[in-house]
Amino acid sequence: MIFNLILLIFLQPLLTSVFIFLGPVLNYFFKEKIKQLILSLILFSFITDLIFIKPLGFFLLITSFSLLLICLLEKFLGHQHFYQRIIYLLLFNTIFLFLFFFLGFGKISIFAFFLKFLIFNIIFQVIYITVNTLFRA
Amino acid sequence: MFRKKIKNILVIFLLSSVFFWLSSRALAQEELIFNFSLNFQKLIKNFWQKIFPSTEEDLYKEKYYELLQELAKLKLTLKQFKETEIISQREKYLPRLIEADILKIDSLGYIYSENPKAGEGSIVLDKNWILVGKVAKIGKNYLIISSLNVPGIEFNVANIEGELLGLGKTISNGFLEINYVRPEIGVKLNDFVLTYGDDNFPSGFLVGTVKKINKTKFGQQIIVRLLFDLDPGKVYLIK
Repeated sequence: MIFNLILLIFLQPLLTSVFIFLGPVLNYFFKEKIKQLILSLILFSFITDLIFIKPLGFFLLITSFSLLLICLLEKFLGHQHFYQRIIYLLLFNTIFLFLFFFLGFGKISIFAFFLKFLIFNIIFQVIYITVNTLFRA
Repeated sequence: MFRKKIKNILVIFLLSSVFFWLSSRALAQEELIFNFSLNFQKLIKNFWQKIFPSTEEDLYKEKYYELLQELAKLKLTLKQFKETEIISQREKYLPRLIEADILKIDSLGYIYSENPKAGEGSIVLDKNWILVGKVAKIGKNYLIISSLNVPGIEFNVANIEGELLGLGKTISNGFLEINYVRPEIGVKLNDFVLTYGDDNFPSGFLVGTVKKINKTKFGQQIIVRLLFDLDPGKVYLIK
């Protein structure tokens, strides 16, 4: 948690195309650690609000909504395998970024921009989750 | 486990909806903490710049060589600049110019800067008198500038002779596109592009140079590379 906090505070202002807090949140989501998921979701999303200068609660709202939607997918699809997680990440990031652009700027912005954010975020999350799994193993 | 997870996230979602609604209504002015956050982010940026100064130097070297190339081109076209509107703009606006420190630049092109008591809609320039954008939102302690890197900003543009090229539209990542330019208008690569009329921006401000010309059946499509430079961490606003 402290490592994630340091990562968020010291790297997020430099990496404005990647949402660092989604790394730990999705990691806890896949590992079914609900307490940590909720705690990190609340704490990190508020810090991200401050860094991105958004109304407080903005990231909490869009992240929890996106998580809620992909949670429904668990009825039909597990997330033990890598390819399954990629499907989850793809869906989550699409919903999250759609809400981020739509609620944050009142428009979806151009497709290239959306795609850039989508690719950067998925790469970051895959690296974060893989590294975390390897170190914990 | 599935039910517990979905239940918890649903509770968080409902709570966050209420909190967000309150935050954007009753607590609309969270400016003090945002101002603290912006200044803190500026400190972090300075901290990283001190730790890794070499990469910055390399960047400056690259920029230096690029500038040398641009200077060579500029020298060729400098004569064209005399008697043009840029010179008169400088005289007109210079007394109303105020400097502001940049606090943060986000990836969508919005610039957060200190508020030197400028008004909403103020024109923002860089150190070379090149158009950066416009003040979009004013706060007590900081202001938000919508730079030309923000996609979807539309304004009329002209060539150096003052001929209207058409409606320019920003497409992010430092470029602007002008569609349906009349085929009879002669445009060359590296030609300067300026603002035209007084729609979104006053006329005569340098925007960028022509990077690419595509011939289409409806005329020409011109891609313009924006020239503004935020390197010194300062912008200049016209009060």
